[in-house]
Amino acid sequence: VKDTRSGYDDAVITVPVTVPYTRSSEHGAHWFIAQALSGLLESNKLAKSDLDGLCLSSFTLAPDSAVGVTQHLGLSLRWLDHIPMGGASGVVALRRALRAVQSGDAAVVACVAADTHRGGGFRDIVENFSQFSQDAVYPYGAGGPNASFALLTSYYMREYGVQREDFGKLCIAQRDNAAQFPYALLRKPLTLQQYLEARPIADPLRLFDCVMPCAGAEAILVMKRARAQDLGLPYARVLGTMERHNSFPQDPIQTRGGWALDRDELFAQAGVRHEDIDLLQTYDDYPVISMMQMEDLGFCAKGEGAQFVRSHTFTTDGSFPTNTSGGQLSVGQAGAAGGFLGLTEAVRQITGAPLGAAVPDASIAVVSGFGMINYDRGLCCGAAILAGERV
Amino acid sequence: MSVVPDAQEHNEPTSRAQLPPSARSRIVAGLTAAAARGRFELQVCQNCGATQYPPREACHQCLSVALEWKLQSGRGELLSQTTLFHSHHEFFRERLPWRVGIIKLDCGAIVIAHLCADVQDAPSRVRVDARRMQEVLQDNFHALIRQIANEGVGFKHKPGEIDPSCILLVCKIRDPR
Repeated sequence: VKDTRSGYDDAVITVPVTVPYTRSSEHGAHWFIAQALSGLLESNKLAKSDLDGLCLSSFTLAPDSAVGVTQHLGLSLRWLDHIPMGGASGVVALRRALRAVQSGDAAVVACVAADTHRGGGFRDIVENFSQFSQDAVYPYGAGGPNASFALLTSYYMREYGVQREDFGKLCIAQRDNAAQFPYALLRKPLTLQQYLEARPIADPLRLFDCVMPCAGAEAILVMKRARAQDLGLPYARVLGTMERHNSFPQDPIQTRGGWALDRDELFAQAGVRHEDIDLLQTYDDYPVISMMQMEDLGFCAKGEGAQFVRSHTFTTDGSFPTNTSGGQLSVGQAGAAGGFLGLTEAVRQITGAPLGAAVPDASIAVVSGFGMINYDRGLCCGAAILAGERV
Repeated sequence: MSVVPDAQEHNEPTSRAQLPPSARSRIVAGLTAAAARGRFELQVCQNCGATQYPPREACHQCLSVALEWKLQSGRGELLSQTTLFHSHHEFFRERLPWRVGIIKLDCGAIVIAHLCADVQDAPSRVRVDARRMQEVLQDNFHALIRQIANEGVGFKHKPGEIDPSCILLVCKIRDPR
């Protein structure tokens, strides 16, 4: 038996929506989901009753799951999925929704990630994140993801000769991109000195290495290409995708992710080369993981991430436009919506409708996701290659 | 997922003594019971011989559920370390900075552990042991006393009555005298 994967030709992504982020909110996650769905229907080209599929991600929905949301918001659906994969939820939701639409199990799938945030809320998520975390991480200083990424960053810097200035360059470029993105919570220019001298959080991480949790939502629609064309909606085609969970379990500490296993097939399925890519959206809760994605997606070799960063610029007008809305490090991390931020931004850029600065002539984007530090490493990796169709 | 400290979560001492986080899944009881007898034990698969951590319901290698708790030397290599200047939990927040590391034990298991003050930065050979939280704090206590003299930082409360079943893995220098 020869296993082959079919493409996504007749299903597309359209209507990228961002519900403006706020530092904290008294509203529940359901409020942000409602706002996201309203945003998807805002053009009046679709009615609420046209939505027959929902793919939902949220950390703050408890005790509800996605099915509770159907009644809460009066949705009658014939296809429903709930993806608890944090930073990989965007790519994974996209993969699920595309197949549902291609097969005809659903006609219009709303992919939504929404989270609220209030004082102490993030601590509750960290404290109850996973069994391994509860048993074997949280009791050791309760540092949360800062501590986990500090351990990975410290090792990675030592192993590959990365300097803090290299990470700083990525953070500063993203802040420059954020200056023109209306929903970014952090838009004040960041200097290298401010980055290097910021308050220490978990050595070697300082304040500007760490994303800021916030409230907000991101959403897209997945539908047949013909339907998007009929409705006159700009859309992005999906050329290739991958997801991989618990990759390289024998590695003593995480220096690579599942992208390294699947990137060749990803680019082969997409039928594009690295030099065809106009922009990259990494999952960037900490800069070390952005650099790891540049390596593992094949834009440079393992261990050459720092050199790659030194030889490129990452602003929208740069040589390698990356995280063009400012990324999570400047926009904020609205829980699971952090796993959608790069997806909505990429779709906007390649359909010629960016909310901030445009990457000139952008038509092909790579979107990458990373999520769920269950114990000592992030378990979920995903990526998609998208091509924009402008109307 | 990650965090920049909330305004509400700044590292200010709280007004009452805090206990360390004590919620554990049932499966950790084997580690705790052994530690109470002064032994560091991990689950070893009776089918394939794999040693594993964190504790699981089945062998991560062969899926056998025939797991037994076996004495460990605790020897291994410190892969990486961090010093925490922020914590989500009040207990640690009033005891910062707090040093933790990730260790690859010679048996293959990866553990995250509290680092004693005399453990050198990675890479270094170390020994991991299971200790009661009370003992860990006593070790940390000495380091903090020095720090108060040097930097004027400290915490308000001495450790209170901590549940003796609160077990932590501790990473020490390889062969302490």
